[in-house]
Amino acid sequence: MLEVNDLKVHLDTDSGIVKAVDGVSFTVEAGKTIGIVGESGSGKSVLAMSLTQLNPQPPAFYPQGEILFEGKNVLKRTKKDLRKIRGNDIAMIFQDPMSSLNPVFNIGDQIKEAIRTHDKKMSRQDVEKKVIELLTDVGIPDPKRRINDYPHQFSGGMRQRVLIAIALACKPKLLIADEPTTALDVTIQAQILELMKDIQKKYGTAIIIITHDLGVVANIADKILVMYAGRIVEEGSVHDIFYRTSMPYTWSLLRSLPRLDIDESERLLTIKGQPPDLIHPPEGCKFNPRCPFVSPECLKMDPPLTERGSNHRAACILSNEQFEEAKQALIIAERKGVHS
Amino acid sequence: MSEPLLQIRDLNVHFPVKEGIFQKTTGHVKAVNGVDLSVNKGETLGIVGESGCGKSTLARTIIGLQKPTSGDILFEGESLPNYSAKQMRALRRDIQMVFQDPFTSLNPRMKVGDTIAAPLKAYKTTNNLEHRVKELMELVGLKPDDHYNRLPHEFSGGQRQRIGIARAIALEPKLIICDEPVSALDVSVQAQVINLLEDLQKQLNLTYVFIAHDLSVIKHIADKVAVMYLGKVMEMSDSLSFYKNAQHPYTNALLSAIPFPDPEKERTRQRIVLRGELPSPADPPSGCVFHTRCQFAREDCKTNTPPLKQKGQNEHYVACFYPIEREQEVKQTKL
Ligand SMILES: Nc1ncnc2c1ncn2[C@@H]1O[C@H](COP(=O)(O)OP(=O)(O)OP(=O)(O)O)[C@@H](O)[C@H]1O
Ligand SMILES: Nc1ncnc2c1ncn2[C@@H]1O[C@H](COP(=O)(O)OP(=O)(O)OP(=O)(O)O)[C@@H](O)[C@H]1O
Ligand code: SF4
Ligand SMILES: [Mg+2]
Ligand SMILES: [Mg+2]
Repeated sequence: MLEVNDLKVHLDTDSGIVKAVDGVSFTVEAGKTIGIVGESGSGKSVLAMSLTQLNPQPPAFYPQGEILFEGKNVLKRTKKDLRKIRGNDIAMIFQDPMSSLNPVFNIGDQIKEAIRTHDKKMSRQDVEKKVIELLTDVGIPDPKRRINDYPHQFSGGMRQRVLIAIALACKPKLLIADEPTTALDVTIQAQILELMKDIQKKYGTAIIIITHDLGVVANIADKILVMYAGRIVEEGSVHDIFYRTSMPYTWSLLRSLPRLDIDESERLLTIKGQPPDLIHPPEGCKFNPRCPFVSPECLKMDPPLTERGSNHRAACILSNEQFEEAKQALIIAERKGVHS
Repeated sequence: MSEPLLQIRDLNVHFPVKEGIFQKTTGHVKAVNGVDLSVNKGETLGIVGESGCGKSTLARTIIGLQKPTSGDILFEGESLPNYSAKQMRALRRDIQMVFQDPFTSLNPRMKVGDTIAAPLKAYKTTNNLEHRVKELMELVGLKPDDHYNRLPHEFSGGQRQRIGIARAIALEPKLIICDEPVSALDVSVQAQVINLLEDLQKQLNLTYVFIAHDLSVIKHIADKVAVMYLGKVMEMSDSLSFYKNAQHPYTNALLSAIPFPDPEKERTRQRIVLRGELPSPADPPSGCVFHTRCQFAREDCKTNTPPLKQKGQNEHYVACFYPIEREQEVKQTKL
């Protein structure tokens, strides 16, 4: 349904060119959920916004690549086409629902507006009925009364539900959710994740969910893309990423999580250093300054994604076997370090 | 057993809700509503709870930024609300705070070295200021020579949090209140800061009150955990007993809402999904404040308030009439 090929999205800023998305390819299949994970500044939001051309240009520009939605390149569409895609095919929800809702209109009117953009011929009564149906679908109690309320009268979780209702109004084929639960409490996050799964079942919507929470993708994603410094460094099924991890960054990230489900070591394992500066990214593999397995080779060449299994790719000079050996050696060295 | 450094007794912090043109007080937000807690020397007390449950208000009240409505706070056995101005000044040395947002808690125009030096100057604790600042920078993992003259915007979130920590430990405090110190940080950097706080605790014999909304972070760092809901403590226990045998329905709901970073476990586990929304703290439910969202609630929960009561022999306290008793539950499912 959606195919992104070798996409670059760069940003022209006062301090230089930010290579926010720097050669990214992936596909989205109908009815499936893709999780995009990565640290702050790794380019997740810029990538998501580029899919419907929402990045302001300037500073954004597209030096390379294509985004094919149902076979046609989004980058080559007119403004009018793009508005149609956004109103009919691809919907987006963001971390902060307040900023995407209009504070001066009530919730009912905002959903009606979204329905009308999608379907101009629907009768007034049908529109009203549809509004109630959507609010019921997203779990707003007492929707008949709540349609007259304004955004500030809703809690954060309820606002996110309203935004999902607005997104669903156009029966999108693809829903892009950029950190939809990051600002919410965990109990509300659990509700919203359940809701997204129910909606996918009912409407068959494909979902791209962006998050930095590996627990969230473990819960909801079919396929995962791990981003680091504007690149995809590992891609595979949720099982590949969690149980057959093939890239040192993904592996280190998983190890550094404090966990509820296992009794981990006394000390948390860490990744040294900071995420890189995207104006002057490191030479070679972008992860090399922080990688526990770095070798001189890694400073010379930026490894491309290579096959690690069916539909599983990782960007590292180490083969799966070499990576396995290196991991064992590191774990043994760590144990010795602890005991000496 | 070590003695309590900090004791909080029946603490209430209420904010008036004002409405209309005459700003008439129409009610009160009971941000902290009858809280009892104690922290022993060298220990870490973790406080968790959802947004708005009163964690920051509690923190601000402990360091004296917020006046309590009633109740008592004892620091080293002495009551804070009765402190003299002189004692207060000493107290400002002994209790320090680290904030969530390293971006707004630092003065953007002040060089890092000067930021860390400020409390040292105010209390004239050293005659070799620069040396001490560099020592502190070293201690928190900053590069003294490189970083001394730089401004906060030149640092990443994790490094800024290190600056905040250096400032907090400068006067060798006894207690540090950390209000969500790692919530704004990336996972890879979060682990670094947690380790740093743990190392400093050992080296400097610090006591922490560590506020977070993430129970997995608390599990790692805390010796004792308290769960708050609408200004009240719902459950409090030593960490081990807490995570093995959480008894309050709210604690169990919180624990089960956190997604495990393990797809098999995550997709097969049993979940308590909380219904409904957090009630307004200006108009909390009667009886047990949690009863509107509790699946175990019975009639008496709507009218009577369950006190925080000790369960079993451990230092494990639960404010619930019908706590979940895990052993029993396990036995029943086996039958
Ligand atoms: N409008 C802009 N102007 C300049 N730089 C920008 C702009 N938007 C994003 N960037 C930069 O592009 C890079 C990628 O940003 P992006 O917002 O995509 O990160 P992200 O992965 O979504 O991070 P987060 O988890 O913090 O949301 C960052 O270095 C960011 O500073
Ligand atoms: N100065 C104030 N005046 C009036 N109400 C206040 C004030 N400070 C806090 N409150 C209210 O008291 C309650 C508790 O707030 P507090 O900031 O302590 O919560 P918190 O647990 O720290 O939440 P978060 O996780 O969002 O930081 C909230 O309802 C808040 O709106
Ligand atoms: S290429 Fe080298 S530096 Fe990059 S992840 Fe692999 S081992 Fe580490
Ligand atoms: Mg983002
Ligand atoms: Mg707070």
